[in-house]
Amino acid sequence: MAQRVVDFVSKRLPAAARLIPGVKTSATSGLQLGPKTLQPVPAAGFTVVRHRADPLTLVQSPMRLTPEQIQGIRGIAHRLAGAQAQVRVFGSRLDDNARGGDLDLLLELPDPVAEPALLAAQVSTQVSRLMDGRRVDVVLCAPNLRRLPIHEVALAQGQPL
Amino acid sequence: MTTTPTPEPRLAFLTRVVTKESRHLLTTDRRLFDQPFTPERAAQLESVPELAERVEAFVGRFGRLQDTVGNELLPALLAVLGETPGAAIDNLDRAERLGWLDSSDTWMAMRKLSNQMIHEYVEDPVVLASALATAHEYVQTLVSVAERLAEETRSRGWA
Repeated sequence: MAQRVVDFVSKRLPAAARLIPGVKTSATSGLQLGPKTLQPVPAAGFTVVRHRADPLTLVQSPMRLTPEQIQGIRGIAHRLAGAQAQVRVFGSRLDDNARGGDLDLLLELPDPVAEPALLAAQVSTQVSRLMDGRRVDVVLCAPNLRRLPIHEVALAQGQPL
Repeated sequence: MTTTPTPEPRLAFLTRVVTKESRHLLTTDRRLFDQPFTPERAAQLESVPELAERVEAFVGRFGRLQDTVGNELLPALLAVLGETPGAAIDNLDRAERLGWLDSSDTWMAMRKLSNQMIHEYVEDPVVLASALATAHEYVQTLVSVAERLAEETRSRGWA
């Protein structure tokens, strides 16, 4: 069964991928075989998703973050800011054609935050470590903090993680 | 022909620098935080130039001591001890393992804090006050890390 899935994806991917803007069309660029299971595993920056027309299609992750990075960022935010914290990515990371770049995060908190500067600095530091030292800027949105133009931009453009 | 200065004079020089920078930071710290730094005080910065200057002195001295310790003295000391200095975070992790620093993550977070202490562009007095109060709480740790590295240098006869 696993081999059938692999054969199917290998055969179908180039044609299917050409239909999706921004996806590399070489089957080897985004897909590798898992060493033991023979299951297709996505390379960094790609996610296997279910699609109505094609059961298995590769698309690039939004915001150029891997599923592991997304999970890691959520985990850091929840550990430091509480389980109710919502994370949004905004800024240049939303441009799928850009490369690298800083990571801008908006942390939405339902309750007033006692030490906003410390919290933002801690989240930024830990996410930066997760992202191999990439620069990470964190903006907080909480009931006791001022709503500034940057918050409006981040809320309007930001993609929830 | 130029020669690279031998490490000991540089270590001795950097040790003297961090000692002076620590003293200056402690002086400004005492003056600025003789009363708690509240959002109300942060909101006065535009209208009280003396307070703004004091904040700038504190922020400058805090950042300078962190830079001299983390970017100059620590890599120089690691190099003399036969280590290959790497990226800032790697050096800090090494310092943590050597017991010179309690937490490299906290050190990095304090560096990140500097952005939130610049009163001209931090428009929320709550955030500015929080950044300054957090830095104030870290001053003793920062000074003791500087002292630990200076002591490490002196105890080996390099300063």
